[in-house]
Amino acid sequence: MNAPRTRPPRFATLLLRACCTPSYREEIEGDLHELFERRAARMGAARAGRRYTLEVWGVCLRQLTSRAGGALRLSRRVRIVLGIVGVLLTMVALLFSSDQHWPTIVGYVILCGLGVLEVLVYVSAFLSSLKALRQPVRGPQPGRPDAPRVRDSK
Amino acid sequence: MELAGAEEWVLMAVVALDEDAYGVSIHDRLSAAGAETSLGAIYTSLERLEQKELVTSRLGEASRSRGGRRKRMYRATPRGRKVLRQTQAARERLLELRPRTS
Repeated sequence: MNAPRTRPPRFATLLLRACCTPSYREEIEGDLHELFERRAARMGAARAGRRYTLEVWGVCLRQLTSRAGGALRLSRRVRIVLGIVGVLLTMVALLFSSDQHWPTIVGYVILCGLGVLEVLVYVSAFLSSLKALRQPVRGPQPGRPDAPRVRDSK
Repeated sequence: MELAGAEEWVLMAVVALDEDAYGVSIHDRLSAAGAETSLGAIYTSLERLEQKELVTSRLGEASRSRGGRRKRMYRATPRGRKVLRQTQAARERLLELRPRTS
């Protein structure tokens, strides 16, 4: 007889680790694990695993949209659209949730795409900041106010 | 200071839970109050509240039910409590302004 699964889905945990802010990763993982254990005792490991996966999606989408949105300076409207896409994906997963089912795989692929996009944004921001550092400073110099010069008219 | 809807709920839960406020307990408290919120939304709100210095956090103890991971315990700052009181007072004043139908 198979022993009941007492661990949350491994792939979802890896995904969570990949997209969470490192400073908050431990507690978010712990909170989700605690909820998983409680739900597994109440409703069974399979259903608890599905809820866990959905929660991971929610956390990852929020983290990625807020971080990538902040880096890209996306407008509020674009962030809302991204949020709606996340909610729709979650609803699709809720309807057909199973680790092998295609909506889950599509969701993972989209999350990975968002992750790649975020990395590209950070790399381009880093390169542009390096470029800005190399350029000479063109601001007002000490002792010389940045005002148009007026010639003495004697 | 402006408090978004979810931030206000989360801050209220943190104040109500006092010393025992962390992700799961906040989630439970909000669910019990009929304001079920996803964990993702709770973390986002907590992050923003911490940036606004309305809550502080510290890492708590690890436990087996959490897979050996520690909790992050949250506590409202005096400023956080004040902002919450101001927001609630503003809401009450707004309710007093509604037309009486009786």
